[in-house]
Amino acid sequence: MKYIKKSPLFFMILLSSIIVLGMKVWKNTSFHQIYDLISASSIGIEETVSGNETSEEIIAENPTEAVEESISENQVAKVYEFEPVNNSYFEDALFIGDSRTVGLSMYSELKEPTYYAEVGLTIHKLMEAKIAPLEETEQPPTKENMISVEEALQNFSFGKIYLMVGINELGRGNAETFLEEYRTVVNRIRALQPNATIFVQAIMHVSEEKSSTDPVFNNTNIEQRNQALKTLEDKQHVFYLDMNEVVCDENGNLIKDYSFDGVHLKAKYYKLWEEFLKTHGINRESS
Amino acid sequence: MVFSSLDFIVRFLPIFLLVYYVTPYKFKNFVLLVGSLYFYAFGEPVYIGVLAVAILLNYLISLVIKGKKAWLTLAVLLDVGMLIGFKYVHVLPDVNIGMPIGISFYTFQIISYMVDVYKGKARVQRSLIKFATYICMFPQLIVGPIVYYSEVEYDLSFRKHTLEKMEEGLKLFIIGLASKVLLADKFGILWNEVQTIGFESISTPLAWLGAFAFSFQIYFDFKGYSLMARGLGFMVGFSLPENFNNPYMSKSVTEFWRRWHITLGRWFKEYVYIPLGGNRKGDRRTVQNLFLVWILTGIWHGSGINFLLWSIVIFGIIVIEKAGLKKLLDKSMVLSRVYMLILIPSTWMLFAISKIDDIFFYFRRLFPIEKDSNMVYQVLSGNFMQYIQMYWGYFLLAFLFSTNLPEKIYAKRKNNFIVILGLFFLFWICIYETYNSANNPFLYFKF
Repeated sequence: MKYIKKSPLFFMILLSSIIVLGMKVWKNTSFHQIYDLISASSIGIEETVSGNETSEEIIAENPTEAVEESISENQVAKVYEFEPVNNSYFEDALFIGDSRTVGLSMYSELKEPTYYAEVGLTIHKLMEAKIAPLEETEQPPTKENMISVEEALQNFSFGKIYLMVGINELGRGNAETFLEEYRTVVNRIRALQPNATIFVQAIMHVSEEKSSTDPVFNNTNIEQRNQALKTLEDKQHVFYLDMNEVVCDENGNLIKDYSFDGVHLKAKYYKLWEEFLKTHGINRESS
Repeated sequence: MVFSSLDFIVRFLPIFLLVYYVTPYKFKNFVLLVGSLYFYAFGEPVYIGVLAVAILLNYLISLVIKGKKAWLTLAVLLDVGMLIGFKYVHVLPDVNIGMPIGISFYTFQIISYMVDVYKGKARVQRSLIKFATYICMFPQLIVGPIVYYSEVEYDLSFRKHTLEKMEEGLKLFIIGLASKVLLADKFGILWNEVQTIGFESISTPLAWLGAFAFSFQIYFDFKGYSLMARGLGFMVGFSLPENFNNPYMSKSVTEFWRRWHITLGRWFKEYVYIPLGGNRKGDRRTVQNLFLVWILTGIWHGSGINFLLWSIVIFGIIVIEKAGLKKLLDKSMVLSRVYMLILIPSTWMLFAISKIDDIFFYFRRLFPIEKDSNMVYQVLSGNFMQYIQMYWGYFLLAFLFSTNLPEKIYAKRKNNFIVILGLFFLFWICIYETYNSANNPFLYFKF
């Protein structure tokens, strides 16, 4: 008692540390083992499912479906080509994405489109993320006024929908599981917005410094997933857009001067992305 | 290992303290030395050799240095040469040698010891273990404070370990940890955001917000480490010097640099400025000596060209203050505050930004004399409001904790149960925060 009075804080921390340590040990041995067992079996199921499908199968699967579908709709498949467009083209456009798209909305002069973008957005959360304002107001929308992307796509209609997500998911799953999730989202968007042109944008690369030092966020991983994303393109409703050519050097690394952290463009370089988008429009009504 | 890492707090420190306290008194220095070397080698296994060689050579020289100028010259050349060598070796092509952690601190500590023994101001320490413990005890090895031998000489042989010291040490450690984890790191995120946007594109308000964010980041980071060092010192029975005295309350830049990183300032004063004649040889020599001290301070902080620029600017301001401005500032409440609120964050930008071009851009944003047609003012001022909404609470706390008020309250009430309970929770909040950022990097590094 005398000792505790002399240094109560020391004994409080000592005691609580022992409790925390005890809890950890207990969790690691009994409860945790059971938990691991359960989760291991469920992961095992997932693994066998995704393991059975090789990437070629995935690649072969959907584009043909989509093409067939479009042929049955229009009878003849038209060939669309990218063409320069002006700002009014983007008036019925929607951009959905992570911090890179947040940057585009803030720092480019592309003010016409609607943006549903959030730092850290992933393909897994894309449809349920509450990032769409219920109505357009001058005031910045409050949390209560936000609805999910899914709800927004049910209520509003768009002519073009641009997607860019994928950097945050790099540490999760693999190219196949990422592609599967992406395909589900694209199909869902198509079902909700049958007349919209969907642009699947390649994940923007990172700088050489970042790429060569990071085991997860590197350009090898990004490019692997981009190649998977490319297979979603049917050139009828879904188009693949790779803006990396305007921000990367000849080795495919994000140019050093364009970024401070190697992951995000500096504000003034969003212009390059904007200009790329303006030279890569698709007009499905004309031609 | 850094003090704010989980490796240190939940593994190294408890195990070390347990071993240290059960060891008989006679061997405590040895355990402290071995623990410190392990602490150092944990992150930098290669450079432990540099540290060991420095300690051995200096120890041998110190045995014969008293009154012998030749030996002193050799020792200083050796230590300064090592420091300069490691600082600048990276500018050579094809050389991939980094800076050994803490070298700027421990070489300065060694030099102070060698000079003091040479002059007879300090008695030579004949025990290699005690000398090595003085140089590399882990509380002060990596980020200071730069301790004089006289401050720990007695404690190296006769220090007492009490529960009261342990208690005081824990309190200081927790306050320091909270400074680092709950304030400095948050401002670090904001400063990082400003750099991500790019200096060409930020608005003037955001530039100032960024400069203040960095000012608070560096203060609470460094002060946090210094407090943790002092706290850890108490835990092993030592009383290490204080490094900060509420510098942001200063009324002039001169005063600021007396209250910021005190143990470095006094080192330069004692071992450079005063030997050169200080201010006793006329105004011209005083200015010359000041210039030299500040150039060396700049080089000490880093090999980048911006540190030279930074130190020359500080030197210039101090000379202007010496010429009469300081008298004016000391008398006024308002003028001195406005003066410091502008000068401190903007001079920190010279310190923070390594590329001269970027510094130039940043100052054009801080002081927008000409209109720049490339700027998208409207969008980016919205950005400023967004950050204010996110960070206003941190700024409020930072301003509060830059005054001496919390310190005064703490000094009076540190044994109050509510204060102790508060510190207890603060400790676990910091652990939780650190644990989260270590285990869910995606929570913090979201793109």
